[in-house]
Amino acid sequence: MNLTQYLPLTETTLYIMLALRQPAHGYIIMQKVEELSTGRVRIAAGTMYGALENLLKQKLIDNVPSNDARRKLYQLSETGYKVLRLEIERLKHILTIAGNTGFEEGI
Amino acid sequence: MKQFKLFIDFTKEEQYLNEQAKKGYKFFKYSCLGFYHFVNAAPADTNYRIDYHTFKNQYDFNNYITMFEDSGWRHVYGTKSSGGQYFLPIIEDAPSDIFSDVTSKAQRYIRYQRTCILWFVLLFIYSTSFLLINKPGLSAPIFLTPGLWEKQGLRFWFAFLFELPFALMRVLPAFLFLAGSIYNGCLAIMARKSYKNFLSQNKEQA
Repeated sequence: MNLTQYLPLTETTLYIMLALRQPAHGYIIMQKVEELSTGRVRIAAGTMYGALENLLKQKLIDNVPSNDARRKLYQLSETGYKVLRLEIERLKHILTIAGNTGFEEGI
Repeated sequence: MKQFKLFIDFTKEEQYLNEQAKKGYKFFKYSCLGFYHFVNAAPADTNYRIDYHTFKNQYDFNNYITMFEDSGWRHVYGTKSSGGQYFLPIIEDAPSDIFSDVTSKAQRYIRYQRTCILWFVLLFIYSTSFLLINKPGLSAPIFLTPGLWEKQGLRFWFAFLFELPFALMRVLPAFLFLAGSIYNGCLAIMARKSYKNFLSQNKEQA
């Protein structure tokens, strides 16, 4: 399967996938994303639900058994991990290129 | 109080519910074909938000509602398969919208359109296959009373009117389904238009 078809990830998707390296339910993911992005990315409930549905459909995340009857748990799937790694590689490459062509490191 | 209204555009529907609340009519239920149910309440400034989703099972539905409740939105109305899901903010400093980007907000029109297309296809297949297979009035008689059309005067009218409800029951459902199919086809086209309108109005934010 060609995993590059999923790239580039949107900022929202990237943060959700980063957050889902550990299993979490919807609201926890929202809080985690906000925390990871130091408050810059706030995903509202409707957007979050749609994004999770899309990721499930693409099999980048899975549902894992939850003992809460009203909250499903989501977690990054194996494919999801591979896609996330590819995306990070892609972003690293961009950073390197930017550095090599005159952008100072850290900017 | 009940009011009949048809909305394709969710933004206009949200505005309508807010205006009703300002007049002292609190929305509490939507029933099929477009009836909005209100109770009298103190006039209030509200921020209704509408999403469109149908769910495979109760667990999915509960999970969805809880995700909203956890983040400050009360589920006002909507069932597992009703599609329209109505929300009001629970807390004062709740975020102003249930969507945080234009793309995901536009997707609700697409989900609505998909439901309309599904009904269009189902009702179309059902009604046309019924009409094509049975050919009411052509290969299959609509009235089954033997010798009905040879009867005269009062006897004819008595037999005719007696069978009419049964005859209608034989053909009317197919035509109603056909009408329903066309109706849903129109809704699907209008939903698509609303989707495009919404995107073009919000282009600068996308």
